Amino acid sequence: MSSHLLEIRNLSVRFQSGSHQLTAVDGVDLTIDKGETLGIVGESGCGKTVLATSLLGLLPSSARVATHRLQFSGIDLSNVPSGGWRSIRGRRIGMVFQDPTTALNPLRTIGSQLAESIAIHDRSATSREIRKRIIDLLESVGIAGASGRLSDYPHQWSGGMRQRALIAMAISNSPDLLIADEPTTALDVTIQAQVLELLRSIQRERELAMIFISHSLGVVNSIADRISVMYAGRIVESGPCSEVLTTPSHPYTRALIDCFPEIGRSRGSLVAIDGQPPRHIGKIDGCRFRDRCNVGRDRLDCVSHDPVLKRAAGDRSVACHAVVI
Amino acid sequence: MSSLRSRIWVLRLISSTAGVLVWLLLAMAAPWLAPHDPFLVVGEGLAAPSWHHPLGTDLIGRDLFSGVLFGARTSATIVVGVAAIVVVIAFIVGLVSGYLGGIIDDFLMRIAEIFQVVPRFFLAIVAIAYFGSGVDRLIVILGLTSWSGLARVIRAETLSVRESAFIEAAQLFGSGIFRTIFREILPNIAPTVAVYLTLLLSRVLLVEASLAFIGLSDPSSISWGYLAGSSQAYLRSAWWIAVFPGLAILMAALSLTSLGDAIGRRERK
Amino acid sequence: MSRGGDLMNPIIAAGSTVVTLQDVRVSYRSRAEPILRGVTLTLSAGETLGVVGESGCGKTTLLRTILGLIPTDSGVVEVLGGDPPGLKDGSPASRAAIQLVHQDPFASLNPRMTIRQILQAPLRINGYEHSASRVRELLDMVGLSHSVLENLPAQLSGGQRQRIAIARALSIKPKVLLLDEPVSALDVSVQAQVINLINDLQGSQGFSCIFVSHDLAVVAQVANRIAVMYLGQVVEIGDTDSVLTEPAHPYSMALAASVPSLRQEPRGESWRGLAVGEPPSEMMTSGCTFRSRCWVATSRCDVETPRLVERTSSRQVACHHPQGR
Repeated sequence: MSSHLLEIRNLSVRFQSGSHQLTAVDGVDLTIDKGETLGIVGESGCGKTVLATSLLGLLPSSARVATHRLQFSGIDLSNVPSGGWRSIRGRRIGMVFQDPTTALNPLRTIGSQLAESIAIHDRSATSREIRKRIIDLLESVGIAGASGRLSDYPHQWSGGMRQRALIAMAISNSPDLLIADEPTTALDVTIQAQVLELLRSIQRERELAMIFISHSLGVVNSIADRISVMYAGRIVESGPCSEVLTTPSHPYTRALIDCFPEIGRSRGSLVAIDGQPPRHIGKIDGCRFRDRCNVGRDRLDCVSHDPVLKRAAGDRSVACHAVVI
Repeated sequence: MSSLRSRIWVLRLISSTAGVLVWLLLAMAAPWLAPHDPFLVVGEGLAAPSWHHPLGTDLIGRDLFSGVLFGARTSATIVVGVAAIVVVIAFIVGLVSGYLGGIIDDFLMRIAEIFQVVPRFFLAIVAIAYFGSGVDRLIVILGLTSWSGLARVIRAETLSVRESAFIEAAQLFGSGIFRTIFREILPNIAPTVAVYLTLLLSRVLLVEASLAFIGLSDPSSISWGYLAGSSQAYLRSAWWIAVFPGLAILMAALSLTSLGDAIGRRERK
Repeated sequence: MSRGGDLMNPIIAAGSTVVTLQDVRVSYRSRAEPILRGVTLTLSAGETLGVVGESGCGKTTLLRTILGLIPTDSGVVEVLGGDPPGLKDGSPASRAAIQLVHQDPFASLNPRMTIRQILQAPLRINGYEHSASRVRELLDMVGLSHSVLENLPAQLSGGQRQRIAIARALSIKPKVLLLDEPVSALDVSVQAQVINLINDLQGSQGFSCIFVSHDLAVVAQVANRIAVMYLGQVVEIGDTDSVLTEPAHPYSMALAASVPSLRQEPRGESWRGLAVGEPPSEMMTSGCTFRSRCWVATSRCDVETPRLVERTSSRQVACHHPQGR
């Protein structure tokens, strides 16, 4: 039995569309322990959202999942029986997605949606108990005067408040793991700062493990203990967040850092990466990042062999031929 | 789109276009293709399909095959004529209304409403009673009563495209009204309009066939509806008189709607 | 085109003012609430002014007012010494002197025109040479390969489309270029490409530029001066570096502190999370719009609306209790 809360070994997700097969996730390894935040960072098309949805059993029927190991707290997630996800989603694993506007039903009150998320998993709770729990939950996520706001509809709340409500729903059944996919991307930056602070404090209080997915290195830096950088369906670098960001090993990580706009960076100091992130992962020999990489563009092994994620010093791993481990 | 559905779509597009083209070609070539003058009595009445008369003869002995070919010509003439009227009026009204908005839009749409509310079939009957039943009159009547629906569609499409950022960009670099409407907006609304137009025309075809069925067609030109209608009493014994013209109407209308549907699916792909 | 000036194309003296807004108020007909509540700012020849703010601050409305697309309720808007061009009036030449790059690169290009047609159109309309070779020069200017000429916009990536939009805007040699969140819809690695492109082009083409964004770090990479907006007002304006290192308005401080950073000790750690709560849902008729979230607000802030006041020769702040020196 694994000591990690979540262990993923060689996860691949492919989509079958007629005679075409699209690979979204191609051999991902990662682990997460109780109480820690893993940040997954990548640009569009890297497969991070597909990765998140595969952990929740929310992939469309055209998806084909292959994995050596997909264990969550003793449960094999690659082999969940048809009714089995109901006891996992929302109960053992909570989720917070990007757009608070579409994640909440506009025709139902906030209170009733929260109540439902509790009642589904706890059939013995009375409505008074549920009401008290909802009020406590909403106050714990920073919604003042919650008892008077249960009959509000989502459109009456601001984006930041809706996201707080979603977080409340996600933690309502005290899950062990929270998966947050770009939860602050649609929010204004001062509200984002508040919501990130909220997530940090919830995590501390409840010893919650969290997978935080974002396209922004800066956002991940403010919340994650460990970071995994994803490119074209693969994890290319992994390790403690502060270490990876101060001394990156993989050229892509380094390039992401060099092009990250930052207050205090001088004008003209951003170093852009040539080309654009790949939209589909085709069959490529050699490293996927090769054609954008200033190190490996012409290296023999980068051209012919696809690098594998290998352990390096400390808790770090890199998938790169050009790095001396 | 999966490849199977894609293949079905291509088949549908090819077959419907072929259907419409065959119809138009037969219509144009009818005077040369038809073995007989369709109005001439050339055989026994109510003769079943045979080598001499592939589709049989009607009540008084006129060749049905020639009748169907000339019927194609008549229906094609009417549909093309109505299309011309409808396209011109609907585009002008719809584009101007949608682009300029305001009082002009209100005014034009009130006019379109007047034309839309009129019950087309009955107005046609009254107009034929009053002005006679010539093909030209029918084209005008059907054209005038059919343009308003298309104008609304064009207006709606124009309204939605007009708000796009690329239209604003065009206006900002100095594109004048005419250029913006015809070079920027029109290509973007054309597919939807084409779909609606084919549906409209197939309905016009059916209205014309219905009018001819009840005897209101131009007596100097053969119409499918007329052929089917004139043999109502003999349906059980001489089925070919109704079935073949009926099939012709069916296939022409189906080709049009199918073509429209195929264009629509391409846009949705 | 002759190098000398003429009536339609006056030579702009360096240091002169190309755009002026004086106490501009704008509201939409359908709403009572004003979008712009008295905006005053200037744009000097050859400079880039960054306008930063969160949703609802009026930054997009500001651009559209400068273009003359929205009428003002009161106040003065002067563009290149005259009225804003607007859409209906004005000869093409006066309109062409100021151009806009839209936020959404998917929507700002006609989906049914090829790139060549898209780039030729403004050239032809404004009497410039519009040969295929001129179009190729434009593609070179923005770093795109000539192979995209016969493509439709849908076949290009977001970054490529935005470059086309920039090329189109600059093809008719505007004196002023307005950019409305030009990189917000792009991946971060591509953002850097476009940011660098804008900087380079400004150096070589010499236009004056207003760069609007919600992302303070992005604006820091391009702007000489920054204007911070909150709920329809400019609350602070000054040289980029000094505003960002020593912000005077409490909102500027909160904004700067909220921007996600790669630093291990985030800038202004003590400022973080100071802007509590959210923008007010009801309109405030008097006083400072920021007071509901401000930690130094006093009773004076309830009644008296602060005006933009010069603090140093290069800084103006609208606050009764500006922070710092």
